[in-house]
Amino acid sequence: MKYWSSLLFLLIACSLPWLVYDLPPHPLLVDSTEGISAEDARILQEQTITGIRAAYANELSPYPGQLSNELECSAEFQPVITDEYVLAYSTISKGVGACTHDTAKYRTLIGWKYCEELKTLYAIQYHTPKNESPIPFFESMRCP
Amino acid sequence: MTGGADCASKIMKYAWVVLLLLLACQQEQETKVYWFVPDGMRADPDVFTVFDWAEQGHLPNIKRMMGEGAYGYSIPTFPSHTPTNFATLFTGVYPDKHGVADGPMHVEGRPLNKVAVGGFSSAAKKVSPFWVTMEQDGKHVALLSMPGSTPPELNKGITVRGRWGGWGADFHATIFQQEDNHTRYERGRGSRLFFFGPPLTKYVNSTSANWTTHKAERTVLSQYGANVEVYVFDSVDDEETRFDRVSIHGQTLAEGEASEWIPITLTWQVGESRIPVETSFQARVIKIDPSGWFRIRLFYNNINEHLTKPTTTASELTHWVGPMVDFVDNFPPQLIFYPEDRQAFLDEAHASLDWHRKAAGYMLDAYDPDVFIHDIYTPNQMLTSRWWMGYVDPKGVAYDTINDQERDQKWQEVLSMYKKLDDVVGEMYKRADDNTILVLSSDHGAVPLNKWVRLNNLFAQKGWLHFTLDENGEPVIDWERSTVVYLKMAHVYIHPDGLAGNWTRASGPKYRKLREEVRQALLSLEDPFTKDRPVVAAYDWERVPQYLSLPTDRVGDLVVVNEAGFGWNEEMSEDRKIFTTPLKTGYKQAIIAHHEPGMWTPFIIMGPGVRNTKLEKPINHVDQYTTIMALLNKSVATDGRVLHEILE
Repeated sequence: MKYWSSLLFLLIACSLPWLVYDLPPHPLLVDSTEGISAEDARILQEQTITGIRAAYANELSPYPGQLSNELECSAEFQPVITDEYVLAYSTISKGVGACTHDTAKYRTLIGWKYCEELKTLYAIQYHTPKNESPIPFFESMRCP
Repeated sequence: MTGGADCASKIMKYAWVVLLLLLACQQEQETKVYWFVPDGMRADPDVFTVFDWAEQGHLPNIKRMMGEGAYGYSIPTFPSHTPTNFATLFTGVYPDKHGVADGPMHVEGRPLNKVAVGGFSSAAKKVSPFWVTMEQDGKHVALLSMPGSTPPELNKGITVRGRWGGWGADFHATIFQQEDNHTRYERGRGSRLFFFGPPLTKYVNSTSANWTTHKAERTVLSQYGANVEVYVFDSVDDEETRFDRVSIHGQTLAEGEASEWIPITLTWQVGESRIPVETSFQARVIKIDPSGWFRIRLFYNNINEHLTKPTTTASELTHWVGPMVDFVDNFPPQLIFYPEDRQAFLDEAHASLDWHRKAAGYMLDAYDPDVFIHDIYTPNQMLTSRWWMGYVDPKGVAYDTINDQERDQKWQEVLSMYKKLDDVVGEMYKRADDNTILVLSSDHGAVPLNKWVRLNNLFAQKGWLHFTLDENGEPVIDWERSTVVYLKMAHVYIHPDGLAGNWTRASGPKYRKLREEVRQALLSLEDPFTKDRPVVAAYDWERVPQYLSLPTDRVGDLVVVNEAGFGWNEEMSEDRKIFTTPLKTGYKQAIIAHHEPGMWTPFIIMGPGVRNTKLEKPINHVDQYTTIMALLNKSVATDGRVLHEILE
């Protein structure tokens, strides 16, 4: 029974549209939002980018004193932000915001692909070891 | 990739779906975890006798947990504050492994005038916390107000507002007070968020206004890009002018009253971008003087779409639970200057506790998480405020300044806070089934703060630290000439060649000699009035893993442990005075908690596999995660021990 239901899923899989990409060599997460206009997709994307940008902006230090009042993520760990993706360093938990060599475990790409014909936004998280670039894999992903 | 390859890609995706569905079905029967971790919930055998309060019937839900599960005291790790101990509780390892050695942290290669790593950020940890491990294990996880959870680490789960993790549009409550130059000067940077950010107390002017038939003065309260018009007026139509009411958005308020929630659009500034945020605020008239002098506090809804993941959770919570009252008072505290501030604090604290009770119930019902972890900051805020700790704990110097009746009133107020924590426990208790592990614990306690110790003034007296004060009273450090500086919370940085530029750890005989001189200066420090010595120990950085379980790469050259009753302070002043008396009367921070029961917390656990027993001795915080993972049949490497004595 289990076998047949799995087979059924596989048959359905072949008949549905998906973002097209090769087998990822590193951890990949793809979330899709269907039935969304390009404009709304852009708003969602901007919202995430703003959140990431804020996380890296110089901020107020917790438990501050007269001297320990400003927290700064150094330039080498600042995220690269483009129209299509954000490239940042992430921790062992794959959360972005790593600002030191000892916490930066992955190079993480948070990117978006909007497939006009499907009216679907794909939000992508791809984590490579920190000495590798996740960009080529992201760029190879495309709408069906 | 096209054609067949395309299909293969689709197959792969659905194979994952099938796998996840199967896993989901399998996990339906698995154990849930509800973990409530109020921040700063002190519990000790002598003064904050929480288990006795429960037995006496004041805390019925905690009593039920004690009657069904295991309970006892738990000891925080050093430094005994929030970021370090939340990391310890949720990783089961000490700071030398999880990396959160403090709130503000400095690392080699970065200048000391900026904090390099913030301990409240999720990115400070070198080890994955419980919630990440649980999500990776396929559990549906929901986090409410958890320090160290933002920027969000959960992908599928729910993250509601961490704290000070540098994520999201946080609008801090602000007090508006009529211009008073003397007060403004006295408070200085203490009235700004974290001493540096947006002002938490703003000084405003008012002008006479033609408004209805009453004598009135008009004021505009501006904060976060929004203006709120306020009229202070005399409600009695007679010859005397005695201002006694405030009109705000059509609502009339007397002293001590708060408005309904009022919609407002605030501006969130991120770099050059200005983002409008639709939210709401509540106005509270803390004090109004017949002369027209006023003190009004605007409390902004503590959640919005930029403070929850997914973003929709913010509107769901606001709709079903109400605008969030999370962070009572401010940091640094603002509700400590006038007697009326005490009541404002209490009202805000109760609103916060009520919100969290409703939110816990709502989140458990609406989202049905497998793992729900919930913090509330209110106990910490209350017990480290001005009004309570120093008067209820006999070790506070303020203890003898009030009579027993006044103390009883303060105890009732503290107990009312504990009762409301118990109500939150009740929401979880009634939703916990036979397959739920229910935990109540906390990160740290709090003890009386009697004296601030300005270590940088000591170093200036010794000629090791050179600074001037600018026209605003702000210190300007000469880093080139300075060889020793204290930086929060417990660290002294030392370099015989000066501390300018990117900091690197010094070595050699000159360094060791200077470090020893600094240590001796610290150890011989004495309160001139009481003759008490504030320094318990000053450990070399090489020895902190052994003595304090701290990592060597995120600490100063000396780590200074304080005696309870004292607190280190970075403040520098012209008079070089070292010991000062604080307004706040409670504290935590750089105390070794093993020797100070006031820093201990409760640990109560019930659920499948836990037997009903009382722990004879206090446990360590690292033991909690270790034991919970054992109950979940997960094998983990931690610094803690499985509490076999509580297992069935």
